Amino acid sequence: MFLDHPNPTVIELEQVSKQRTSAFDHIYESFNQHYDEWMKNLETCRAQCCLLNLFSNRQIMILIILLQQSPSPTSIRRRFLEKIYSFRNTSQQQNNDDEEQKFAIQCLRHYLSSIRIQQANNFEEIYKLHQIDAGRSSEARLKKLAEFLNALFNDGQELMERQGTIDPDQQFLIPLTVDEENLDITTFNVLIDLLNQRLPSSFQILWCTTATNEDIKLFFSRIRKFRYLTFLIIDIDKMHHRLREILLSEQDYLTREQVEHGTIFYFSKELTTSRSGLRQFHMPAKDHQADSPATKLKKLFQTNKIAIPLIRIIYGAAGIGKIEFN
Amino acid sequence: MNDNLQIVNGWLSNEDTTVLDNALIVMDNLYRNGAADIRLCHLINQVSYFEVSYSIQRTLERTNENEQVPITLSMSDIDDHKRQLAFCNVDIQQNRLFSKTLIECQLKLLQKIERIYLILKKLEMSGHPDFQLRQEHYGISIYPSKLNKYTSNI
Repeated sequence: MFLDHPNPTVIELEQVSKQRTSAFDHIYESFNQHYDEWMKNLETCRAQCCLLNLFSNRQIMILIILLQQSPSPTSIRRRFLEKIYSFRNTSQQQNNDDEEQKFAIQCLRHYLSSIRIQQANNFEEIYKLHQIDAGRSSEARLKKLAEFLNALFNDGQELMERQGTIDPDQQFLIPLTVDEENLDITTFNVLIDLLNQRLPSSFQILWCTTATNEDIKLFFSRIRKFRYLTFLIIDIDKMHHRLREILLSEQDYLTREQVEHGTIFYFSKELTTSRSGLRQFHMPAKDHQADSPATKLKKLFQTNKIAIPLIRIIYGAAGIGKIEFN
Repeated sequence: MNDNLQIVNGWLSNEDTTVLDNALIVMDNLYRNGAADIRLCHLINQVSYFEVSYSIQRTLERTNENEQVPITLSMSDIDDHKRQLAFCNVDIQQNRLFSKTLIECQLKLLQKIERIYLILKKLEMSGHPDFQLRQEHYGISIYPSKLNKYTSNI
């Protein structure tokens, strides 16, 4: 059998094997370089275009893919859109391409409306002007995306405008009592009030239970960039302690820098104001004249001219969400 | 841990000594015509993975024709295979240096492939647009071209 072979071939086997593993080492190295380059490009492009800071790395990737022209029926964009819109290829090539283009624009609009900034009116025109050729380098594609966002959102100036007065203490702790581990209606009410008549966008809230190391870093870079916005950090107590350490050291850096930054609210029952930089937030006294949170939310939707989505609530007697639903 | 212990006990029990022999045969086949495939598919909500495959030749009795039967090892199969090889390596007598080298080289190779898989997954998760829905295929056999002359008389 093969394994019983005599010794003389050992050296040769080792040589061949070495060649092979070093070939795989080269492959690894080149991929690793791609990774470093991509991270570096992201950083420089984010420094140049503030709007790119609003999106996570993966969201940026999806934006690029949606902007990319895709000439082939097996392209990444086609497969991605097929998955989310479950549209099927028909025999007519032209129809397919039109359909795909339509869905790409629809998906992109939906994606971008989630950041709640005033958009330019001529979306499709801007879209056509800034389509990306698939063959370009990742840096060129990032730059193209930045140009697109700048054209659509007027360089993000809306986010840079000063609104109202700014409190010099910019980091607040919102203490949760022991029994309200989850967001209850009082906290929710506070949350809406904090956001200053704006509908919250996902980039303003850090959900700690799902946040990664990169999410936390990106979130704090947003806080530094957008000095007049409000940011919320929720579910701090439920974080993995390793990530919590990262979050707290970011808080520390921010305090020590002593520069103006966005106002942050930390929701926690374990953190205390003994941390430097953190100040207790005093819940406003209950105002019986005030609207309920639901009414406030509805008003916000109305002023932002957004149709309220139809939400069905299925609620069981046991309170665990299990019920027969017809 | 206990699960693994059970598996290992299984391998070492008398009835199942064939498991370890089997691992050597799998290794032999991978040297002949093994290939590794990495598939990134997180973008369409599927789990990215890699697998290793090889094929064995089977002769059909009726027609006397040769048939290639493809066999695929999933990621957990590969982990099992690696563990089994590690056991074989300990078991094999000191003087069978060639066999030991074969096993060590194979383990090293599988580790390199895994490393490539991990960096590709990192690229995918960090949102590099060129590393979405990507497929990579690597041949991992060395046996036919370079070593055949030594082993043609198996």
